[in-house]
Amino acid sequence: MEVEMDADTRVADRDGLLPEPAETTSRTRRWLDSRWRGPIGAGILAMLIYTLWQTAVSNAWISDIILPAPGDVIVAFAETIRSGFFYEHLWITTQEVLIGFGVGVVVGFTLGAWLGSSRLARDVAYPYVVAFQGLPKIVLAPIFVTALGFGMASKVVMAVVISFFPLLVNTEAGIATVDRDAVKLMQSLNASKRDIFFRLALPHSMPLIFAGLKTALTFALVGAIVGEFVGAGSGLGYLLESYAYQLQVPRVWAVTAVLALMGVVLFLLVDYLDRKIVFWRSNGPNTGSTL
Amino acid sequence: MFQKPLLFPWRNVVENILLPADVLHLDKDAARKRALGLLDLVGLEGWENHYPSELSGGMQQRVALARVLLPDPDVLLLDEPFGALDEMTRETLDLELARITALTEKTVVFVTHNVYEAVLISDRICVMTPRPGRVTGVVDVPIERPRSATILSTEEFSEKVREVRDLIGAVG
Repeated sequence: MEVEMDADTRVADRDGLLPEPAETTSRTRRWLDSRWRGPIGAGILAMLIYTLWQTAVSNAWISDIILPAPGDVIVAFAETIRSGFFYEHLWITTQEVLIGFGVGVVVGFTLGAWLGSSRLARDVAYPYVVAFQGLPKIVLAPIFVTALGFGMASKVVMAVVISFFPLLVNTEAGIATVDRDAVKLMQSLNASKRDIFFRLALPHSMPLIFAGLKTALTFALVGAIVGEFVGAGSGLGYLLESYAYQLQVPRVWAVTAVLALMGVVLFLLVDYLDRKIVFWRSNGPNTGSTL
Repeated sequence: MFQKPLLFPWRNVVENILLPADVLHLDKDAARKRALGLLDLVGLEGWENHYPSELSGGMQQRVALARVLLPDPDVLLLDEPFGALDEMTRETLDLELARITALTEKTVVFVTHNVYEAVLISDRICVMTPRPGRVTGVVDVPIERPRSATILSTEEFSEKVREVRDLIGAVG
């Protein structure tokens, strides 16, 4: 009962409909119940990690050649993002990731849609799909660098090869799981294959496709960085490796943080599109049909 | 119509009803007008912009009925359309269906495993054997229309139910 009332007052309070509560204790509690609870908790966790990190370094539990003090990393981060050459490297890696992701998405979606729609294609190609799935694709990086050189091309190809796969698998799974009765419904209307694909199979697959896009994005970043590790003259992966060789460890961590930020920004972008496009998923699991 | 409503969750109610219009390339404005009229007919006026997840099972089947009526077919094939619903809702929808199909002058082929439902809405009942499906008997139901739930307790109704049951018994 109490829980229920809490939920009600919280909803009402968001619209500013309730008068201020009289008691301080209940105000505090309601405040902790509010939507700021998550961010505040995350902030506290960040402070805890920072303290633990600082303590570990101060007491030499861990060598500062491996993990420098957080303050040093922040200074290195500030220095890094103020230097001009950093943006050249950032731009190179961003291009590699985005082009690789874009091509990977087109390739993965097309192959996935094809495998999902054609039983013959599935039967013929699936053994190879499974074999390729088992392959740790980063082993291909040296081959691509040898074939395509130290420039962007080898990194883009690496990003494509590693990122098209989740999209292929998820698109295929989405299309293969379309409700047979929904297909019959479309057929009863004399719908063309094209209509069945665009009006039924594709929208039905969108939630899975977006899940695939999120994975693919992270993978594209991995592909580009691995490519840069293996052989490159520019890019954040190259920069990171150079700093590591020079034992500029705070800067290594600073570049790592930049890469993490890049991943987060790109992820949030896809997540935003996901919420906009697959709006019906938030309506809850009961959609009345199995779609 | 199927046992499940099979509404598309990414389409709102009126868009779901308009699915046949999209596939059959019917005139959009006319189809939309017709869809809204059908929505009134199935008792869901004002729900056109809601999404299927916001509707109860019975309401979803009402939408599915409106969708099947949109292209104005001569014959409706309904395969246990209300089988997944509770008894009360099913009865309501049976009578609604009888009213709507009488109003729109449709022939309905209605598959059901429920004898009461069959007698309630049918003019003629064909009893079939399971595997292989063969017609073992035909029962005419001359109960006056429009029908309401009150006929459920009439002697005539019970008589027809018994007749159908006997035929099923002969099958089993």
